[in-house]
Amino acid sequence: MKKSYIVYAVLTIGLFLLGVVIAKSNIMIMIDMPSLMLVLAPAILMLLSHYRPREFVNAFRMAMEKNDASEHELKNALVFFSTAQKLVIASTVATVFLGIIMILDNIGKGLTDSGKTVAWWMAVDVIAILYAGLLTMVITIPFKSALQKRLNDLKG
Amino acid sequence: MKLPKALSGYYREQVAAVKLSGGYALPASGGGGAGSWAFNLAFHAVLVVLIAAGMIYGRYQSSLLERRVQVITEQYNIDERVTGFFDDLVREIQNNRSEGGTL
Repeated sequence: MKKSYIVYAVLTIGLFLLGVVIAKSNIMIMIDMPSLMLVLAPAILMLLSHYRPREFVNAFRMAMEKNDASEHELKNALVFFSTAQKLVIASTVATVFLGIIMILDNIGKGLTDSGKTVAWWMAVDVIAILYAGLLTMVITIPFKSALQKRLNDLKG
Repeated sequence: MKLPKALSGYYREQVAAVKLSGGYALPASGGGGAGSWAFNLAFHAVLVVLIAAGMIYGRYQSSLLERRVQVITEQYNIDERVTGFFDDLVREIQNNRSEGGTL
C-alpha cells in the first residue's frame, strides 16, 4: 500500500459526495450513527475475540510498502482484513433483516405510531448497506489487495 | 567432582554458548506502544464509549433520512397500506379456499 492511498481514498469518498452535491441533495442524509454502530461495532467486537488491539494496528502497518514484515506476518494481516470484510457483510445482513423483522412486527401489531418505527428501521437498513459498501470498498478490499501483492512480491 | 555435577556444568556452558539471531524482536516488558495494557484498555474504552454514544444519539436524535421516510410514510399511509395489503391477501386466500382452490 502506497502512502498515496489516503489521497485516493479521500478522492473516492469525495466523488460520492460530489454526486450528492450535483444532485442538489443533502449530504447529511447519509449520516446515521446507529447504522454505523450496527455495521461496524459487531465486526470490531468479533475481531477482538481473536485479535488483540495491537494486531489491529499491525495489520494496517503490514500493508504499507516500507516495512520488513515477514511472510507469516503478512499472511496474518491478510486473514485479518478478510475476516473483517466478512464480518462487516454479515453484520449488515443481520442489521437489514433485523430492520425488516421490526417493520413487519410493528405493521402487524397495527400500532398507531408504527410510521415512526418503520421510518427509523428503513433509514437504518438503507444507510447500513451504504456504509458496508463504503467500508468494503475503501478499507478492506484495498488493504487485502495490497497485502496479497506484497506476499506475491515476497514469493516472486 | 561428581559426574552429574560435571555434566550439569557442561550443559550450562553449551546452553550459554548458543546465540539467538534472526528472531522476532520482542518488546521490552511493560513497554509502551500499541501492545501495552494501557493501549488495550484505551482501545476497549473508546470502542464502548463510541457504541454507547452512537446508540444514545440515534435514540434521541432522528437522522435526516429517518425524518424524510417518516414524512413519506405518513403522507402516503404506507404502514396502513401494507397492513391493508396483508388483510387483502389473507381475504383472497380465504376466498380461494372457500371456492375449493388449493392456495
